[in-house]
Amino acid sequence: MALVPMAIMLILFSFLIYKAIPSMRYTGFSFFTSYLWYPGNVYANPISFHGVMAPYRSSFGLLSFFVGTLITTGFAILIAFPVSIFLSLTINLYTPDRLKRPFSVLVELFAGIPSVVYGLWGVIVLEPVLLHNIMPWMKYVGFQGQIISGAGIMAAGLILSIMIIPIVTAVISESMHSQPRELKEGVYALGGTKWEVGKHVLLGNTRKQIVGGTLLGTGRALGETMAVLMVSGSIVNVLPTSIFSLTNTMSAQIAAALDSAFIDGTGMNLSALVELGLVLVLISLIVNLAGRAIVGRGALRGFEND
Amino acid sequence: MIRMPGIIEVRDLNVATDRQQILSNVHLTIKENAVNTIVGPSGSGKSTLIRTFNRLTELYPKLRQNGQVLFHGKDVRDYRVISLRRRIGLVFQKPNPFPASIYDNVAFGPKLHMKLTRTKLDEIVHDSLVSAGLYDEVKHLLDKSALELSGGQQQRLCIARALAVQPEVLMMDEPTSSLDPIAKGKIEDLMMELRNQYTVVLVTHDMGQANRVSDSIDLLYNGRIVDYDKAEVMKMPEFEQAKHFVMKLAK
Repeated sequence: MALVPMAIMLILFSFLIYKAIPSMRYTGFSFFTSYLWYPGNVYANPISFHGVMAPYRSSFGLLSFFVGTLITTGFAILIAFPVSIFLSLTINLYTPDRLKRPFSVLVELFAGIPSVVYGLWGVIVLEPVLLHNIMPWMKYVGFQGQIISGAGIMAAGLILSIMIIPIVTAVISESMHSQPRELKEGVYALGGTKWEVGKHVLLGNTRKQIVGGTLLGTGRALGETMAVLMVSGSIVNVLPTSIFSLTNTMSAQIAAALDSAFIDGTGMNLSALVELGLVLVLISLIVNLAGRAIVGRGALRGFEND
Repeated sequence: MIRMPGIIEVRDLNVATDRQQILSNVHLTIKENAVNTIVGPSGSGKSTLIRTFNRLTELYPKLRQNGQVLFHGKDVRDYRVISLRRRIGLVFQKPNPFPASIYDNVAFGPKLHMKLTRTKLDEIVHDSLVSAGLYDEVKHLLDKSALELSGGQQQRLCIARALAVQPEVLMMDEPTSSLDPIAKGKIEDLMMELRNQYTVVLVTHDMGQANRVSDSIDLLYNGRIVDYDKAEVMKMPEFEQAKHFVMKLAK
């Protein structure tokens, strides 16, 4: 029975690799170096290249999506990391005992909200606020770029950060909570303040779990699709120039381009998307394994990547 | 016998949770520059009692306390808690070194309270380790992790750590209960040396130890201080078990 998940994993990977082969042959290494993603003219006669058929003038390169994924995820971590540390310290030091449990549960509940709802909130609330209330002020702090929409890196990064804060906080807070009572009391008994207990015991002894929890949040942010798709602006073939640029991520592109990919009779568009998915899986896998290796399995229950 | 006022005076102290009375009408005097021992069976409230001295009981919001604990004649609640805990040190039952180097463990307290030059800090660490009788064993290992030391060494390190902030009173909560006999002997010798410079409060359920090191012994039983001189008290059925303790004390 223990082999069942392994078999499923194997089948999944074989399928992904098999389906990605035409794209690999057609694009070669330029898949990783080009930022042009053009489905080609699917109504013209297909061309033949390296033994595979592809739509006329089609071109597939993941660079713009890779950069988008990297920047939105990085931005999300940049916000989520300090917020999660702050929340964890608040829960463990400054929350009365009887409120600790409800408070942690509340934070964890946010991890269960469907991402499409976060996306909806992003579109209806966050984007207009960014466009009308935040961005007009940016020119006073030296921002030069053009502003066309509330969607983009800023919106996607913010939404992602809100989505991963519960996971990162849960892991960090739990590891702080499990610090031995004797160590905390040891600091108090020497005349330490709450903040000094937080600094030396709660933060000082949980560095590993803090890094691990952040990596798990990163894994979640990398794979997150729906909310990002809704607020990123879904732009293609353009590299971002500022924090307010429209963007797109690997996962969002797969979802966005899937429908039109089926129009392509050669199957090359679909194959390219599968290859994109394969790269995404590999990156997420590495990040998640690293996070797991650091934190250990126990802290993760209920926060599997979706 | 008229009791001279001590460095710590406990007056009519009651501590209770919602469900249970932990200390009842405790009166106690801690004498300066002596080893003051509080003995009693497990669960008699010894640890809670000494934790009221440095207000560590405040970490447990469920504990309700009334009555007074006076330190130098002033209620401990009128001190700033940080300076109170610096002046009344506590060594725990289980050695609890921080997961850091031996040096950093001892330097931890001084760094919390004062800005010190490296030379001054080195001096404090050296002196504290010497006072705790650990210096010769660890002088070449100061950068090693404290967790690599043996249990007895860890406990003496915790004593050094407590001494490093120059307290007036050093409280030890069953400091040898998790140690082997040799390590225990070393710490008992240490206590008797420390009383020249510090006031020592020892909590133990080890009668032999109490007899070896103490200048005065108080018996805490079911949250009450029992006057073990009085024969009639001994006849009360609720002190049946306490009698067993007192017999050993008397010898």
